[in-house]
Amino acid sequence: MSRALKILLLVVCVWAGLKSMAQTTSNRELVVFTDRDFCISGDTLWIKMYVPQEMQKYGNIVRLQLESQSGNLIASRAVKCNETNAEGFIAVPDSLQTGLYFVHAFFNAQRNNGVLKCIGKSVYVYNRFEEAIDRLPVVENKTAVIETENSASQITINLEAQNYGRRDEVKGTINAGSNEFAYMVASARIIEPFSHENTGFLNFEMKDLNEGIPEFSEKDGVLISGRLSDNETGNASNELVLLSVTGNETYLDYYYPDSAGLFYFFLDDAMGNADLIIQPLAVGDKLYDVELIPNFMSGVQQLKFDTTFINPKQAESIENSLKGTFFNKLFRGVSISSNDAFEMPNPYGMPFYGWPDNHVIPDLFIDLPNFKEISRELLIGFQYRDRNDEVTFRMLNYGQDQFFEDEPLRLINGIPVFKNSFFQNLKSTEIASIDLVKSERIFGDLRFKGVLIVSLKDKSNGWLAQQPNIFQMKVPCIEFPRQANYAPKGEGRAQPDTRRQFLNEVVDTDGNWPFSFQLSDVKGDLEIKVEAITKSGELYRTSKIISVQ
Amino acid sequence: MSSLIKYTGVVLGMLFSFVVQAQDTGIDTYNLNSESNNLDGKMLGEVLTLSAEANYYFLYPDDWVAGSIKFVNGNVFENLRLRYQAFDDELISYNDNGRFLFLVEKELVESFTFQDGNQTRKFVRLTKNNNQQTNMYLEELYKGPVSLMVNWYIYQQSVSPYRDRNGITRAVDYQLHKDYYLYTDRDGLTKTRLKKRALLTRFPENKKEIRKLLRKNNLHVSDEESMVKALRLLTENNLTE
Repeated sequence: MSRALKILLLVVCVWAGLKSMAQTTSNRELVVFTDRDFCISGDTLWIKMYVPQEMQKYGNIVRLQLESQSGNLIASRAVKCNETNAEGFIAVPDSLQTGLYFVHAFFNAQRNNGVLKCIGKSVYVYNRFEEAIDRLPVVENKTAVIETENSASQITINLEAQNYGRRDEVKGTINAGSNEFAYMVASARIIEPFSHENTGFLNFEMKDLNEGIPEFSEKDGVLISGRLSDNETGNASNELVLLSVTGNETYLDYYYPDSAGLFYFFLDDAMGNADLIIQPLAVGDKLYDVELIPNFMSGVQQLKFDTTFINPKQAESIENSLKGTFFNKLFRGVSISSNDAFEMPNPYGMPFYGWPDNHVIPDLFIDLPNFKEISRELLIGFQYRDRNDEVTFRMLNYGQDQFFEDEPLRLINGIPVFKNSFFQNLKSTEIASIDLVKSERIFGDLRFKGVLIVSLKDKSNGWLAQQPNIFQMKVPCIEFPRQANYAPKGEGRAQPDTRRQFLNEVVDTDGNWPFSFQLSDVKGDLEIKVEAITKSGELYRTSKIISVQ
Repeated sequence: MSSLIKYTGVVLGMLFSFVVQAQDTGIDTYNLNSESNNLDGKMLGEVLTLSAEANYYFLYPDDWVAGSIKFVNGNVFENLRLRYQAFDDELISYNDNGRFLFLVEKELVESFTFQDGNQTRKFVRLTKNNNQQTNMYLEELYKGPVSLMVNWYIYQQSVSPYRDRNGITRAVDYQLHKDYYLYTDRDGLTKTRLKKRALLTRFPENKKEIRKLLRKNNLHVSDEESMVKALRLLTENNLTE
């Protein structure tokens, strides 16, 4: 073989190798798409994610996060993916400073994967109270920035008209032809020149900042991680940790922490914001501290930044956007209302203590002034003993026809209670129901000698206030699925319509995909953009820019 | 005070504190360790005190065997020590940490398997029979459109008084028996025997074909293994319609 032929062969091999590496990069990484390049503080940023099939082994809960330039976690969400697609949103805090922020995502099970990669997006946030913005940060190291290939020849955007004015309806189709795209997102927005120029896809190499979290595969649920420590010394403690969930009285879980005091819980099918009650199983005066560990991966560690001045045209556009948001909030209110809804079915389909032997509804009987009277009159097989100012409870053991020698497990609104004094002054009018379990039950490695379950009418759990070693925490679980609403409110022309986003949808990759939306009162350059990923993992982008007069 | 009294006092004090702790929380924890932390789910059940009678006569297999349990919610528990209590139709397991026996919550069990000698036995919990709610464990010998199931039960028989291995005089004898059933979702359980005739009776419209098929495959139905083979053949040849 001649020398020239050998060199040619070598060049071809190297090229093919590089090509195959480039092609397989993003089909092993999550790819994040945002509906906009900038947002005003207080806005809602809508996000879509491509989940390659190779990554579905990591579970179906994607952790989505907004990170600041300095690596601080601003907001995070856990969203459930549906095969190759995941959708979610981040409510950008109202007080967030003007600057450059980053949206990226990861699976919890990817934690100890060496270098964890993700293709995320950069987004500018302008604080809505900012009076004048004259300079903004930009990403300095261009190696992290992904230059998408222009796909105008593969994806065509066809519009019915060529010229558009304010409030006109835009109609058209998107056609990907016979090209094999795995995922396509179409979006339409009025361009803000600075962010349009300086944002885009970025290669993130994620770094685990919370080494205490295990690489647990989250499937249809979220992992909660925390640390138990001695309140006085700050040293790790390994008392048994109990978890109750407000609103789900038949649920309990426990974890025996390791020597570092770390504990974990998996909340199966938990949707929305959970009110968790965490308490160490401890008797006596010793006080403990519980802190939850945020599930966070930093993606901006490898990035470098520079600051650049913005030109007058860019400044005017940003100012108009800020004013538009002000009017929008004034006339249309907040787009996403804070919602404390929470749903979590019992994972066993039955209470953790089994089905009770007795179910008593005190309202069906005469009013009784305290729990002593209630137990005497209504609770058969339950002993309330009051000796030397000490109250003890005993439950009948049905199987043995004798009373247990130890206290039963006592629950108020599903929360374990270790002091009988909590029950003493309960009147029958305050209690919705009382359940008794009259056998020795097991739950994992725990044993209960009977169970007393008191469900109060008042579910606020105010009785927990000021109690030592009981920690109430609100924890976001899987986000309820929601869709952005870009449509006009239909108030007529009397009120200004300041929408800048009009479309953000996953496009059907087969055939023609029709779309339509109504423009707002905002003038400027309208960009209709399609971003696509091929089955081999290459990122493509095509866009059409129209001037709205 | 002598040192003996002091030490006795300290020991009693410690013991008392442990008793108080157990009484106060209502939760007995025993020897918890990292294996107690099953994030996917916990075992539910009721602590069992096994009577001598049940221990000697009602349990299958004769000794504790390694097995696994699958719950209806998908949770799987492996490396458990299991025995099947055939008299009450309950599954019993042993908790190594707490060193206690417990009845596994029957309503949660989808199936359990254990090693019986060199054979793996799989029991499933049947929830419906002829559209009637039921709740019983049956061994699944073959799963198909028509499944072969075994009902293990304790047969109680009056006999002449005798002394058992503990020296107790008894007038009853307990024997572990098996009944075989064919099961379909539509027809529920139908008692059967391990005979060719039972198959012909169950599928009268395909009598000729079944006879021919068994003859062709030189299959003589006389035990569990040959019955399973026969049902598999029938399924493959669409003769179970």
